[in-house]
Amino acid sequence: MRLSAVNVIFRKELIDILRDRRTLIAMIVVPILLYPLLMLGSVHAAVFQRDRMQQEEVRIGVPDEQAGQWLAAQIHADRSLPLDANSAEDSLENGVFIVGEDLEALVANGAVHVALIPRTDMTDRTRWEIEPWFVLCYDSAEIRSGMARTRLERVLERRRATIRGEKLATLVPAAEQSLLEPVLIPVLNIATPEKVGGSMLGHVLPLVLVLMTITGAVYPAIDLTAGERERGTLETLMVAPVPVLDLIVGKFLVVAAVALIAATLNLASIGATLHFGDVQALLAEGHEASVPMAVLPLILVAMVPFAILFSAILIAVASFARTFKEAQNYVMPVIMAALIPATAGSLPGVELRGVLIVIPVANMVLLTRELLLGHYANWPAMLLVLASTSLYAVVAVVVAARLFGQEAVLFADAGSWKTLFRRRFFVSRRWPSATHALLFVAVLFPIWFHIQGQIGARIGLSSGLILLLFGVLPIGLARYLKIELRGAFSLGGASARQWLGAFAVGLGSWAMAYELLVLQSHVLPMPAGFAQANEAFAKQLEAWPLPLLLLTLAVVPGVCEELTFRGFVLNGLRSAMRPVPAIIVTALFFAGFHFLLVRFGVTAALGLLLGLACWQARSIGPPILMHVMHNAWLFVLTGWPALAETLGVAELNGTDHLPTALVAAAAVLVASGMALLRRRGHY
Amino acid sequence: MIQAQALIKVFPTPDGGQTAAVDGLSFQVGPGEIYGLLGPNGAGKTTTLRILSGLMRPTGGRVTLAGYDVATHPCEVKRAIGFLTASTGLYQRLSPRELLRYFAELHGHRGQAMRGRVDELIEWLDMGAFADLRCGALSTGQRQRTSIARALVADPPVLILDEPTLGLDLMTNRVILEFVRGQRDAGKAILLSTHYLDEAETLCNRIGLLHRGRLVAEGDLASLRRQVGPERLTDIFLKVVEQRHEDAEPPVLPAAGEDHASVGR
Repeated sequence: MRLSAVNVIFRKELIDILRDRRTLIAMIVVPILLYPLLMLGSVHAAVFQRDRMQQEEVRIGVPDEQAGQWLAAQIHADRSLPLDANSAEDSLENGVFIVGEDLEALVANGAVHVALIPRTDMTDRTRWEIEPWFVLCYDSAEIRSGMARTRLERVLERRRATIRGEKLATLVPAAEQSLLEPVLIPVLNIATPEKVGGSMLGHVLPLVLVLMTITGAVYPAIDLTAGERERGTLETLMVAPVPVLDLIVGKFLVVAAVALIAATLNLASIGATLHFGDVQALLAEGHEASVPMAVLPLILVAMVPFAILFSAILIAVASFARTFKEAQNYVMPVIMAALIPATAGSLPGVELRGVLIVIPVANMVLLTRELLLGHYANWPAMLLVLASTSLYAVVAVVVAARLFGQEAVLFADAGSWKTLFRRRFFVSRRWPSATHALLFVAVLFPIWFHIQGQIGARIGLSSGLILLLFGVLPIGLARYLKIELRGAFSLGGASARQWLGAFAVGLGSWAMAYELLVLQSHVLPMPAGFAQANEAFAKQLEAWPLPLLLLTLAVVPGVCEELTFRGFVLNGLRSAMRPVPAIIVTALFFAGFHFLLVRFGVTAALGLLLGLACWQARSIGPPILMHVMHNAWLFVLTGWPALAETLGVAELNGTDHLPTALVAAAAVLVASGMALLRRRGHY
Repeated sequence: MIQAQALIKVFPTPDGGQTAAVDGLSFQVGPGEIYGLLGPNGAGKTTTLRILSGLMRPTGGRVTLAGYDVATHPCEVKRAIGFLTASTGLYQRLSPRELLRYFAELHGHRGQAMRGRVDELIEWLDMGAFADLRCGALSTGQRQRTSIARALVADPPVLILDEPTLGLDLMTNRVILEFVRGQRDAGKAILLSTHYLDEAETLCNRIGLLHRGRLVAEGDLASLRRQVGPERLTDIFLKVVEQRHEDAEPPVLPAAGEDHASVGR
């Protein structure tokens, strides 16, 4: 990829899109006007309407004059008492009494809002505070009727409390009078105004922001792909001496930039509306609240990978369309599909944990909410949200570039784009493509994350699933995609010297990894609970015979993870990258799939060794041997105490260094093993 | 300059079969030469030009252009090509000057030299009056001049012109034809696809008649007359096409199977 070409495309596309009135309206005018109008307008309209309705006369049906007088007396009896803040709801000054016979019919036809219908089983009207002589009749489907019922009920309830208090006062001795007063239990609300504001915003803002970012990307994504084709400029552009990847990266950077500008303006407009309008006072229900302004830029930064992800998805989808209109039809299901996780993530009580961390859209909604609430202690989950979103974004960009360059997508007469997905049109190939590898990783990542969280330390199940997902699945996929297994999984043979090298690395790598973890623990202390979890795991292992442990925890993961990472993924990345970057990226994926932040560095380092070994040997065999031996060491030492004693590693607690001689020997073994693995001659 | 050897392009059909849009096509075009690729609709002209310009990958055969193989050096090949069609759109929201600078930059030209080249083209094609207006506001003739300038902005040695006068009025047509002659005289290799036979007759040094993806006759006008008989190119064309129509079955290949990829290997 040439950055200069990407820059040229980016600048041109940005100018082009910003000169379009439709973009400006969608990006600037809508957010600037929408929120003030929508939020201030609707809140004020609701308040106005509520006040207006409370000023309206309330028609109360009564069975006779006497009942009307009684009710008027109850309503006016407590006029001197202090009323609630929302006083209109607690009073019935504007009540009008209508005497009628069939009161139920009067309520039904709206002539009265609420009615007191006498009970046939209760004729005594003097003891109403103990047992009411009437039934309150109202129509719950009519707003005014419902409001009238609430107001009448409150007035009567308050009156009843007063009468009861007066009666009790005569019965209770003077010294005990205080018992009649309601006790107010003191409460301490520790929420800062920012947190209250954050919580208030957390219900709506994340969903709005995520949807607005997606919506902001829709128009430019269509304009720069299907629009370009419809206007007849695509063919000319494709004849320019620029690789498709550069073109698509330039274009999607513009889409992402527009989406982010839209997100920024939306956020700023919401913030300003809440800050300058009096909406927050209305929404915060009496609590002191302020908009957590400091966190808003942080939210925007978190939105960057998300904007990139959706820009790439929308570009990929819109690339299939031949016209603007067709693209709009294709994009609609994407927005609908995004709405489902977005809504799920914004449900009350849903938190950023479990599989939701890696579900696109839902995780961004939850991350935004966590930031608004100031839940920074959940930073590992937040980091994983950003990492997984970035991974999906990279994959989406690569897929978009691949689709954009396809003849079937570029030219209407080059065959249906369905040919891209039907196996009989696939061309046999020796290696997977980078798109295959990245898509595989992106799909497997959330699935494996979810499974890991569910199975916990169930060793047998875990081993079976590794076999299925990291062994059977990539092999099946390679066969489906017509990729030669020998090429996809580096099934070539290695020399005896290289096998010896792999054996030497396998002997020493575990001790090196352990020592690295100990060194790391001086800088980054092990998280609380990590040691206990390890101990619990070790206890569980005691019940298993050593050969079974070696099979399930060393051989199966060793073989299958190598097939996936040093096989399918590394070979796929190699078709688009130079060897060293491909090995590094594969190692990072490998470490990421272990979902252990504390071990990330060490696992990635092991991944580098395995990748280098595979590249040097041009064979998956040596890294499999290294991986199996690496995994096996822990169980061999646990199951063979005499050996552990001899090596001086009988008591491993994760914080004490290994014997220096052992570390030195391990280092020599790893170094000499890697040297033996080197391919001879120039290549 | 342009060498096409045994080009094959196979497309899948909706019913699961395959059809060859280009079927074993070979020809070459030298510097200072206009080669006319003639054929009825669906003869495979546009597909051939797309293969030559690196937009499509051939199913079989080989193309070298300005010394580069299209399959292995697509960017170098594209750098050597000026591509022009009548249907080519312009960026409506850019001015011709901005558009020319954009394509010059895509070809790797930067700075003062690039701006100088753009100004030179604007002057040469008499575009000064509209060079800074938005392309969306230009007349058809002004657009076509802008398209010509775009095709020439990197001063490529090869021009690929796909029906460049299709649907244009007489005045604009004349501008294009003068431009093509001028470029030939400047030593460029020009491949012209057209079905305006008069145009081909007056412009082309050599002509290839394409029918159902195959070259059915090739040569200068004199040799075509010797081969086929009639005087006018229109008559030659009709005679050849009708004759082929009677002789040949359409080149439909067997239904696509698991091993369809081996076609052309």
